[in-house]
Formats: sequence, structure tokens, C-alpha cells
Amino acid sequence: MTSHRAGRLSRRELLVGTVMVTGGAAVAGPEPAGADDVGDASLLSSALRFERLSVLAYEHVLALPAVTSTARPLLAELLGHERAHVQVLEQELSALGAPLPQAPTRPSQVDDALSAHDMSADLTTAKTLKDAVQALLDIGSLCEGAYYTAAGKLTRSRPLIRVVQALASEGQHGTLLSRLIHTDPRDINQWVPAWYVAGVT
Amino acid sequence: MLELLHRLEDAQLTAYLNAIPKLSGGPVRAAAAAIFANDAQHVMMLRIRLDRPPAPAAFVDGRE
Repeated sequence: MTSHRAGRLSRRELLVGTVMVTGGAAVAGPEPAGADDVGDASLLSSALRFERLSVLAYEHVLALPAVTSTARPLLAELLGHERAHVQVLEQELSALGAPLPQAPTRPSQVDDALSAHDMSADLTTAKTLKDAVQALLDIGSLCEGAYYTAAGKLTRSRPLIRVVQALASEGQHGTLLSRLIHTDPRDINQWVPAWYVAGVT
Repeated sequence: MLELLHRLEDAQLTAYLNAIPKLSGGPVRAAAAAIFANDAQHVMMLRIRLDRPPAPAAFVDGRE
């Protein structure tokens, strides 16, 4: 598991480091002639998998008694965003002529994904708001990671733009969720922990 | 002042979104996307201080 949430690099260091690696040959000009539909479909499918798990997770959490009247409207709104992400990813995959992956059906599949990435949050046994939100943060990190990977590798512009926009949305979700469980205004480093949003891969 | 910062950050988001598709695939483009997302978090914090809906859109484009 690679976590990009440590935030130890400054923006300057991140960009300078990547430019040095690529020799500065980062500006493409026109879109490449040979788009890789198979590769793009694989990247989008990975993101879709985690987004569908995220929808399951939000639905499960919203049914918990521990969700406060303050948290409920926010979580419901974020669930709406996650469903929109799923819808657009499905549309982009269909536009590529790619089959849609099988949709998850059980909250335990969320835990399976978290466990596979060495994350300790447990959705199905969460009883407190804090534990439930931590599970949402963790599945959100996996969404971010899939989007971050796709942002570097997609060959077509339209899904690239949507992926970048969705990455930003997931970053915002992470901040809003963190504010639910880290309520001290001095906790801003918990709300926005890094100079960049790259999730967990 | 916060309103000004909000508009500046929104303009920055729009600029990033226009520029990112022009970058070659690779770590620089991924880094730009990651920074765009962080700027979106900043805009959201400003919106909170301005007492506006923090994250009104499922796809961030700097026009929220």
C-alpha cells in the first residue's frame, strides 16, 4: 500500500521532483493519436469499483443510529455525489465499449477492500459515528488513489477531465468527513493533511 | 478579502482544469491533478467561512 496522505513533500518539491524525473517533457500539445481504450477502461473500472463500494458504505452508515442530526444531511449530500461519480464512470466505460464490472452488494465487501489495503477501519462493526466516518474516509482514500492513478495514465481527454474533477470532489469529501470527527478548529491539519490529494494505491 | 480569495482560487481551479488535459500522461499530470484537488479543498474551506454550501458539485470545475 502506498499512502500519499503523509503530506511531507511541499508542492514545489512534488512538482520539481516529477519534472526532474520526466526531463521537463510534460507538455504534450495535441492529444496522442493512439488512445488506449483498453488501458483507459481498466483505469476507469478500478475507480468505479471503489466508488460503488463508497456508495454502499454511505448507505450503510446512514442507516446507523449513531449518525447525528448534524451529520445526516452532510452524509446524504456526499452520497449523492458518490452516486453521480458512479453514473459518470459507467457512462465513460460504456462510451469505450467496455463491460461494466459486477456491482458489489454487501457492506462486508467494503471491509474486504479496506483490509486488502491494510486499513483497519471496519464498516460492518462500526457503532459510533467516529468509527463509521473513519470507514468512509478510508474508502474515500481508495477512490482518491484510483483517480490519482488514472489522472496520470488516461489517454482520452474527456474521462481525464471527469476523473480530475472527481478526485477534487473526493478530496473535499475527506475534509468534510474529517471535520465531523475532528471538531477542534485547531485540527485543520486533520482536515487538509497534505499539499496534494492522491489517496491510497 | 475572503470573497476575493474565493474568486482567485476559483480562477486557479479553472486554469488547472484547462491545463491538465494539455499535459502528457505521467507523474507531472498526476501531480497537477493532485494539486488541483488540494486547491478545491482550499476553496471549500473559504466557502465554509463565507457561510456557503461547502461542496455543492459532484464534479469540481471552479464555477461553484
